[in-house]
Amino acid sequence: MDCKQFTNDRDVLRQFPFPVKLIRSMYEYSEKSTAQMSEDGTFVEKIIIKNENLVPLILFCLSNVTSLNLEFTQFENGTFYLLNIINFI
Amino acid sequence: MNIYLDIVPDALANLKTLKSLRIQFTPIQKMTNQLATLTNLETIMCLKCSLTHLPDISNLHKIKLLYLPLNNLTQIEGLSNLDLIALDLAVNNFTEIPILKNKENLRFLSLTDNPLKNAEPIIFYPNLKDIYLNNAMLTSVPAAIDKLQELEQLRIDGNQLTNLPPGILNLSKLQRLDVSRNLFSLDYIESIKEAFKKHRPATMLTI
Repeated sequence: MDCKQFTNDRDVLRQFPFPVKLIRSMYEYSEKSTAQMSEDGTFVEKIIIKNENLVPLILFCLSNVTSLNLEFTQFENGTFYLLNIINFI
Repeated sequence: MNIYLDIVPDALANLKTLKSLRIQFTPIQKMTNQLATLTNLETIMCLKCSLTHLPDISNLHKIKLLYLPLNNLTQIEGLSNLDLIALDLAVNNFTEIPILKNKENLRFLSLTDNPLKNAEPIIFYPNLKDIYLNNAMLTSVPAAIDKLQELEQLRIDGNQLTNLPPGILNLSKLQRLDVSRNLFSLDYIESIKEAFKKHRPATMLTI
């Protein structure tokens, strides 16, 4: 996982395989994934991944996050994922 | 081809500032040992994650809230080192109530649906407000239950109790007591009802 490829946290979110809605407060209810930026807007402070197929590994590039909530979403298996790509090629 | 491994990856270690980690309804075969490096964690929740093991968490000194209901845990390494406010281990396979080093701060304890050998350790936690030990195969309640003078709610329904210690009437802050679905005789049930009516009328008794 190369986090240096991302210029900032917004860039990381843009590379997620599903949309992450930016919200002002985590009290805003959503059926899908949401994130709250820090007050100065420079980093993701809180994130909820909900009802998605996989937790993307690049999630762990959000190195300043203080709250991580994962619901009904499985973790990605990097090894098998790579094998799938090789088979595809 | 299965692309799911259900292992929380080592990359979790990148999240050094993490205070709250909550994973719900997500099967996890293995939690990375890197969890132990997240020393800013204050809350860990893994609800219905099929967990059978957690890495040693003894270094996570800031954790106050540990919620691990609906897993397959039998023990947690390093748990005794923590200073918790709430510990929820409902629906696991613990046979003993964990004993924490610092016992003063624990307010909430749940070991609902665990095959416990006994409930004696609860008296070590003098500031408990809520205790959930329902469906825990208990045959007795600690005789010194009245040491828990902060207790507001006690659920010990669905056990194998045949009597209650007299000290249970000395819990002056007890708002709710559920002792239903036990092995009390009908006469004993009537005597308990009478005793609470007389000494603790404000307590909501379910028997």
